[in-house]
Amino acid sequence: MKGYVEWVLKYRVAVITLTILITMVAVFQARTIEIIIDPGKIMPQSHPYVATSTKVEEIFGSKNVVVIGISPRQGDIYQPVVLEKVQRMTAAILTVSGVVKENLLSLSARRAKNIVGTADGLEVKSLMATVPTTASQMSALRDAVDNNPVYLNTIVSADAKTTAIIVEFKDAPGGYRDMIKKVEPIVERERDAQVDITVGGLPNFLARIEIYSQRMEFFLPISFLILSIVLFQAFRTKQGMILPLITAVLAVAWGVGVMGASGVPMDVFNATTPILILAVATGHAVQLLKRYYEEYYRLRETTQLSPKDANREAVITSLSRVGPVMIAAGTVASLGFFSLIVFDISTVRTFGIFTGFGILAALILEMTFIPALRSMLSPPRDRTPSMRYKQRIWDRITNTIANWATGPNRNRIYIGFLLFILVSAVGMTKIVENNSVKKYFAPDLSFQNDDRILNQSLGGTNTLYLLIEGKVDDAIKNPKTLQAMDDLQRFLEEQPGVGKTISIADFIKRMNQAMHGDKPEYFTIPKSQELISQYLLLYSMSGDPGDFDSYVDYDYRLAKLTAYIKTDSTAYIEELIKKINAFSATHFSDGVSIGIGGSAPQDAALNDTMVQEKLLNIAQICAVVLVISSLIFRSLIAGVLVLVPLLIAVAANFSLMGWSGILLNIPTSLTSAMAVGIGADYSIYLIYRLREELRSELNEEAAVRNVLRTAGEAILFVAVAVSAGYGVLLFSSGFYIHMWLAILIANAMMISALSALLLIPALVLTFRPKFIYPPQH
Amino acid sequence: MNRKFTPSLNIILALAMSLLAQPLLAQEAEPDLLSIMETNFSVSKVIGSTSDATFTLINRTGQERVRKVFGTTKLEDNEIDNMRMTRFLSPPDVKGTVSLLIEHADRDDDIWLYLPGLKKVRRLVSSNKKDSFLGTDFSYADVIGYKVGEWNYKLLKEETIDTQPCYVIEATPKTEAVKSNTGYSKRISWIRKDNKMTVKSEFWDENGQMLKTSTFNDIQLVDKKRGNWQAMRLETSNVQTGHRTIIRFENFKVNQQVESKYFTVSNMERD
Repeated sequence: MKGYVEWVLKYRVAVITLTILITMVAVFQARTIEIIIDPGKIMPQSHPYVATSTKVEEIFGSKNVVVIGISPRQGDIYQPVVLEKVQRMTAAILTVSGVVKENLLSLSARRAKNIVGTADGLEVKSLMATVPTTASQMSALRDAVDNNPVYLNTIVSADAKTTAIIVEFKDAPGGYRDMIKKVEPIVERERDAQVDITVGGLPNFLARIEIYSQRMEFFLPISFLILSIVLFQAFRTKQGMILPLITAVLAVAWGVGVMGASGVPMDVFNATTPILILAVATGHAVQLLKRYYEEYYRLRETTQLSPKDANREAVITSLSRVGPVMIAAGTVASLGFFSLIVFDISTVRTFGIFTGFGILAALILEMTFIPALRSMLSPPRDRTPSMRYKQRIWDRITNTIANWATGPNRNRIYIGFLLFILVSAVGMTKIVENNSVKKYFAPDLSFQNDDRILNQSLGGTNTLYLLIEGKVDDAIKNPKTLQAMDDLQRFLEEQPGVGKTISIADFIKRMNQAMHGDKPEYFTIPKSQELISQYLLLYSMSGDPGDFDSYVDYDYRLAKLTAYIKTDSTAYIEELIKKINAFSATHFSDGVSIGIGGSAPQDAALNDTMVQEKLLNIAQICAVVLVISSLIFRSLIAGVLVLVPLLIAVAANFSLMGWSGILLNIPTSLTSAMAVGIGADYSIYLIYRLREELRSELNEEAAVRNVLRTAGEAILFVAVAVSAGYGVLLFSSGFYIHMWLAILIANAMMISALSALLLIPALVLTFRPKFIYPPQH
Repeated sequence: MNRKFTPSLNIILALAMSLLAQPLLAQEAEPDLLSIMETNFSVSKVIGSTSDATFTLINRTGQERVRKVFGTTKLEDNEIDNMRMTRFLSPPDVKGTVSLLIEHADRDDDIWLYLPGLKKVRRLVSSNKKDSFLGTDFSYADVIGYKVGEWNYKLLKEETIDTQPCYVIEATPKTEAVKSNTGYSKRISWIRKDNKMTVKSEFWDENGQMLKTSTFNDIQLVDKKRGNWQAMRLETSNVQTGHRTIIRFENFKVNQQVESKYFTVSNMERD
């Protein structure tokens, strides 16, 4: 190691030049990186609910649906001023690029037809070709809506106080923000004192995530500033402030560069991953720097070396001492993260790869660039005696910990932790999982309010799709299948929380009734498949070719039944799905299968997989940490020692979620992986230093004090600096993702640091493992 | 100063006049668009016909619905409107369904339907002229033809399509009403110079966005005496929905002396 460091110093100019070049390439590559928000990226693709949703969206469309609600402040929607707005907005939206025109639905949409039975036949006309002007025209429109139940609670609320325009967008490179941006001016033009206009739908929420995530551009520099202030306070030197930040920033740049070069898109849920890389990189840098200062002052204060020589010597000694530990810790962590590539959720895989590369980058930088740079910088000023002996806050904290660990009441530490684990265990039982994106935001925001209004007045803003799939073409035309679909719809509508259901069965029933002079007793599915086919042909003769494309596929083998749901509670959805499955098993004939999808079940799927995957994910990283640490120290006990503080940090993280009511979802679950990644580093540094000190220092207590004052303090610096730095996200008002991160990151950092500092020395002293205390020969 | 300019101004004016005169002269040789459109409108109005037709509807993903029908038509005395009786032969579940369409260029068409499953003839009231013709990508207006006097025409260029020299004529609706009735803000037609048959058309929707393209192939002279031509293969693609329709005629025969009384509701229920 010593030879290597001397080699690096010899070629330091080349090393620095090369680093700058690599960084430039990385930054260049990073420019091509795409920041996307694709809900598909966070969805477990092999989960049946997700697979069905994807299939439904491919065949029937209905992805990216924006709902615009128009509610008059006085009276109901049946007044020209409201209907004119609907007509104008519908016409305007039809000119917007990216809108799936044939799927647009509103009172004045071409697809909205009024089916009427007359004495001698059938009338199929546009629901509202022109805005009614006379009272009789107005009441005719009201009757038309009432007689065609498919429009109730979809485009007209039950109380007729709200009417909606349902707009579907194609997937587009501009993301969700673009969709909302295109709708906004059209909505804005129509807003006035007479009406309230609300905008809802998943794209609206996803667009907000994109918008709010951009606050990072504002918060990131501030958090860097705070981080550097803390580091400056800790080291009392400018270099102590700048060098760790350089490592951190370069490591993040390299990591992002690798992502860009490999074409892996950055999703919004990984926008916080740089924080983790930054925390880990700072951790290594601070350890090394702390050791450097230690060695430098030792050399200056105990030898006759000049500052320049002492600087060079200190760089060599510190790196040869810390280097192997850093490589060990870095390997453990990066392997742990790389192991996440086996996961089904794309965003978790990206997270694993990204973090793994970031940590490797930090290692390489600390092993090459930083010592090269350090050796070229001017050596630090000598300490005055007062600086040397002054007890600072950091020293006092580590001293107290040392007192506890070496003192007679070491058991109190264990009792304390046992209690803490108990409290955590209780907290963990209180965890609420919810993957609804609506929960990412404060409930009092205006768009949340919009969603609530739409949810209350119309069928519901959460969807559940049932994909009815037959084995042969025309299977859906089978009267038994249609009857079962109709029965299922009635069953669903009896469930509290289900606001509306729609399928092709509704249209068949309406046709049957209309062809029998609108008699109510014919609002049924006919018994003859031929007649059903003829109705469908008949409808197709009066509509456009694509009128039923969102209900049945072209071969009549697949049908989509949509239920609109008022709650996004995962528990409710899971219960409902159970009921649907039980109902379908007895009502649908063999050969017809029912697939489940939609926004609500996908959230449930995410929860489903998350519980399993998150636990697996943590178990997996823990296993990797255990194996690699055991190998590095050639001792299973060492592996266990590394694992203990880490497990406590993870437990604390989940328990905080439980006690505080922070929801367990994708963004928050990533912080527990963070706790794991950082926790292992802390333990490994402490164990190495303990082994080094206990082998050279005869006085055990002095050795432990030394470890805590050096490596221990470095851990404390990093934990406090990163917590404080990311604490600024607490001020990202309304955006819960940021606020949760601020709290959970601080918690993860502080608990991993404190549990490592408290437990590692205590456990080593108590159990005296052989890998630290070699057997006396 | 002024005096100095006067003669030169005269020269400029003279030059300008001569330049202007050239296109004026050329326009005289230019085709009479209105008469082209008149012929185009009437050229395929056969006096009466019988034919087998296959309607193939193809959706965005390439799935097909194929319907075979036997059709009978008779031109009414106004030489504009047709009566059309269409019997569905397949698929089996709609076999025996019959539609009777009496076109009315001025108002909604009359449509009657006989559904064998219901054993009843029902009258179907729908059809704006812009609505789909029998569930195809053609509209009723596409089938009946567009009233020549309601559109403004512009010759864009001349172009040869499949060895046939064509006029490329742009038609725009004279009034908002025409636009909203037909659903088109613009049509461009490639019209054969020899027989004035349309071989290709492009359509723009009311919002000015491209809507459909149509092609008319296998154009045959079906009535020498009257000079009627008929395209045996018609295809329309909706570029917005990705949906396509192909209509293929076989055994197309004119002058069948079909009688008007054939086109009655009571005749629909007969096989």
